[in-house]
Amino acid sequence: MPEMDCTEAFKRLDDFLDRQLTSEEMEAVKLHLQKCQCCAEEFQFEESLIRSLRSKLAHIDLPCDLLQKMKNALDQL
Amino acid sequence: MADRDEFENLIEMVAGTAYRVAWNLTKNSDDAVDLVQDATIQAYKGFDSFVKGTNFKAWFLKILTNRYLKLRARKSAELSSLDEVGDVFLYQQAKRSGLLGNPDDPARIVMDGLELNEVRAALNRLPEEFRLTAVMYFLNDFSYEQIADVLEVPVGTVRSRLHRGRKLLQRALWDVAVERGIVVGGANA
Ligand SMILES: [Zn+2]
Repeated sequence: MPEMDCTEAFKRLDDFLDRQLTSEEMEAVKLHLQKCQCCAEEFQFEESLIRSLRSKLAHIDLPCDLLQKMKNALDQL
Repeated sequence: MADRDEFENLIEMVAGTAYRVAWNLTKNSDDAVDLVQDATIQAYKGFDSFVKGTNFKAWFLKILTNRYLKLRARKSAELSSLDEVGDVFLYQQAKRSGLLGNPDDPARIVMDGLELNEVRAALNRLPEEFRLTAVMYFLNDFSYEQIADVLEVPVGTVRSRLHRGRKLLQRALWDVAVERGIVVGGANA
């Protein structure tokens, strides 16, 4: 695979973060990020955003009687 | 009738995720509990069609999502102001407001300033199809294929909705952060 430029790397940002690229493409993007501080910063920002969103949304408190309510629902049948 | 003990063991493992997904789809916790209960009944009724050894969580969430789409009164309002969004919107905005000069992680500065309800408010601003995809993506470690299965759309649709949904979400998060005074707005991409 030929060396990737910023535009090419950027086009693959989402797929790179979700590991949807071929391993060859993953490597090519990684290589570009090692060389290009500019893209590396953008990619890092995006990655961190996804991570913080995930961890924030994982902290939704559950009602303590949730499971009981689910089981109770079955008794209506 | 299906084996109730076996079913109850399985729902114990998915209850948390199911509620969190429901909480993001509906607008409040009462509706979320109702939706989870409704999905539980539907899942139990259809438990014979669950293939043992496959992903119960994905199977259950598929039922839950379908029930939500069926029961929901009307589509959430779509904001036309979200139509034009550039790439890496939040990053560009953070850069403009000088957040990137900060030694700390700028994405976290924006995110740490936002309460859970504000993140949900931002998610709720997304047009429905993007919101559903984003909820499945951020609340689960599902692959594109699994999300496609749950939402019953092609994988390519998941990919494009997710990519676009992320941009829209960045825009919505930024708007909420500006509204709440967490960052100073002004410049618009
Ligand atoms: Zn670059």
